[in-house]
Amino acid sequence: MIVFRRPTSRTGWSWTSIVIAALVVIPVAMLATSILTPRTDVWSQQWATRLPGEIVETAILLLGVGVCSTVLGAGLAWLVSAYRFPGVRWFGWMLILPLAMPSYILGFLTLSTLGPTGPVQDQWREWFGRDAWFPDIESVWGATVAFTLVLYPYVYLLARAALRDQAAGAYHAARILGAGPTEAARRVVLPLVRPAIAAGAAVVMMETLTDFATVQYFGVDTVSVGVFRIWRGTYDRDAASEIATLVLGFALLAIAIERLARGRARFGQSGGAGAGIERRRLTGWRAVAATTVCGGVIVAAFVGPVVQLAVWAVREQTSDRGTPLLEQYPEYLGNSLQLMVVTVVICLVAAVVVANAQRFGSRRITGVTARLVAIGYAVPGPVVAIGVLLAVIGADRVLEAVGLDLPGAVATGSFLVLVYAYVVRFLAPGLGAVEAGTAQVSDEMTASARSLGHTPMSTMWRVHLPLSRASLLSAAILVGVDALKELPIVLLLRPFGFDTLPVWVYNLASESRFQQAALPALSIIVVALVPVAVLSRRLDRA
Amino acid sequence: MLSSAIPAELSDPDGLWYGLTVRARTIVYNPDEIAVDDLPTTYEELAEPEWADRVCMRNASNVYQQSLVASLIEHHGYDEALEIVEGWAANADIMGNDVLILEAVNDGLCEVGVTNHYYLAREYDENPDFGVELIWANQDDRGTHVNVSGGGVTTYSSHPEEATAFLEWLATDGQQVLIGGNHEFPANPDVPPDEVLVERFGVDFLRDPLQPSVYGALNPDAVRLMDEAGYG
Repeated sequence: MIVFRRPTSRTGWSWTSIVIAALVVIPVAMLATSILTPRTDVWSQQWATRLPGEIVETAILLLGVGVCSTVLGAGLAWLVSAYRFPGVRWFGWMLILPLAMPSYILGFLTLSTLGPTGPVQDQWREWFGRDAWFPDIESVWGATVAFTLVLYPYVYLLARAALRDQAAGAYHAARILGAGPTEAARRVVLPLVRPAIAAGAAVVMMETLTDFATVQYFGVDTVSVGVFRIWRGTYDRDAASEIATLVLGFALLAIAIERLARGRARFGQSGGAGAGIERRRLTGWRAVAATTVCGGVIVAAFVGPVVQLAVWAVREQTSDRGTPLLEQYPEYLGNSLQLMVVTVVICLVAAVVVANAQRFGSRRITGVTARLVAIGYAVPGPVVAIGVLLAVIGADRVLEAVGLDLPGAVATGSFLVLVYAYVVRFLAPGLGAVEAGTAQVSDEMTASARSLGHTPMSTMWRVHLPLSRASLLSAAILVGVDALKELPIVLLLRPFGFDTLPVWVYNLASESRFQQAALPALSIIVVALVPVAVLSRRLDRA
Repeated sequence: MLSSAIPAELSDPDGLWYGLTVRARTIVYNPDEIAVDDLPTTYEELAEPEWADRVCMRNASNVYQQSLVASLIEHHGYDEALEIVEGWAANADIMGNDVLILEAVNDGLCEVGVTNHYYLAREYDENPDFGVELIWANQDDRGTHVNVSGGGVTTYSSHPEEATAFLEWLATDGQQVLIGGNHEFPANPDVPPDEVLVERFGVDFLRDPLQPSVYGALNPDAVRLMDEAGYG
């Protein structure tokens, strides 16, 4: 293989890649290094009071949601991949829909219907008396169920793709060699899809860790809630950032668990679409059970909540005092969309540069920078927010020192700071998708274009990008949905008076004004549904 | 002009900001569950053992809960305040928001609760027969704890005169706009509160004159105190 490179251009790609990686890593690194000069008074106070309990609750929640999502997601993926039963064609794509449902929305819906003062328990008490036992919804268990219902699709998606692309051939070989279906599933399929399931479970745990709205509705005191309380209640940023390193610790733990569960196998999406596993028909009670389970999950996680929100939204908008809501609505929707679009564009550009730099720049350098960029997604939202603020305050001081005084403009929550934090957090999923696309363009193709006289830039525009269009779309979708639903970062960093739909939902739901929260909540779901629908169609077609 | 419209106890001592509306945090109860004579009359009483499992209160992450505890620190000192909050922690069912507390009291899940007054007024808007009433807390000593919503002009304001004029309007003619529909009290004593408050709560009650800047400064201590007390 002969590749012609001009040294200057090659260094240019490497350097750009390094700068992008540095911008992502610096906030996280600044936060992590805050622990090197610990505030012992804060730690001893926290350790003597709330912290042990918070650590335990965080661990229980993480493990609970991780295990439940894995079982549910992988189980459903196997069910719709390996069997035929009434409705299976519909369930195949409908089971992805809860991706459009933010956990904080399902959380407040669960609480308002099943919680101690909701209609279900009211009726329950009427039937069985006031002291009748009912499961404690406001608990880590209630939160586990709510998180599982919205997060299992991550496992489901990856497991289904792996079943289709990687496991089908091996499964059939095992069957031909005489293994029963269960044995083939256990001994051949499961080991093959394990890396995919582990990767899904890791994403699920990251998403659980980043939350501090849902857990507050359920009265679950996690470390993230602790960080939030210190930040907002004591105005002590140093203390909050130090406690936030613990959240970072949990994130690293989740990654370690993934590595462990994955074993030595690597998860890679193979290009060719396999024929899939030949589906066996379920009959009798088995078919009924399969339909009921799939239908039940979809109703509980998506259809039911959406119907409830729609009823509330209509009731609110037709009631006497429904008007002020509509006045603010376009502004909040606009803010959300603006933030989403800007984040998607920046993430895509940065991801394309980093992915292409691996072709055009020094491989050793750009390989490392690409891995560094991925750090952001493993860092929970509150941690990213605080880290970015530390970095920006640092930059502000440097600017001031060299005489460039921008009074308050940089540090006190500008839109740019918010976007910066979003990009740090969401660049990784974008990069993953773009890299997968670039990987489909062979080195020889790049070399041909270069030898025919195209510069790297022109090769990227005329060869790489057109060939990886589908991946660019995936990247935009993944980043867009995440950015739209994001709450912790915007709550901590938003400029004064800047409200997004999630902030609006959070504020109203925090005061149990569910009926008023219904319209913005529904809007988030509807907007998020567009990319999710594109995703599910592609999954179905492939 | 602002300092003549807004009482000093609702403003910053240096005039950096002025309170514009007032939110009272007080004791609510279910008349079907408890007789008026048996009601606790102070925040402190709720820490007594007799109130075990009979009271609903707000979680420690909430700023109103924090400022109430901060006011206890100012009035009683840290150690005594700690004992009171430990009593609360032992007695109370701790909930995620004030509306949940009101609904729990309405459902008879707790006999009394501590919430901001306007949440109850909003429940009356929805349902005039909502089964919860309130009493003004600590009327025989310092008065009911109040929070404010307020406004000030930022250092980097590009139109400080206009901003000041706007605040002056909000403190006078604009008071009705600010409290319209949300059932908060106007901070300007010359402006009448809305009817629901007058008719159902009574508006001539003693307010704790402690300045928000004082309990605001104690807020970090309040958060730490609740940590220490194991208050959820």
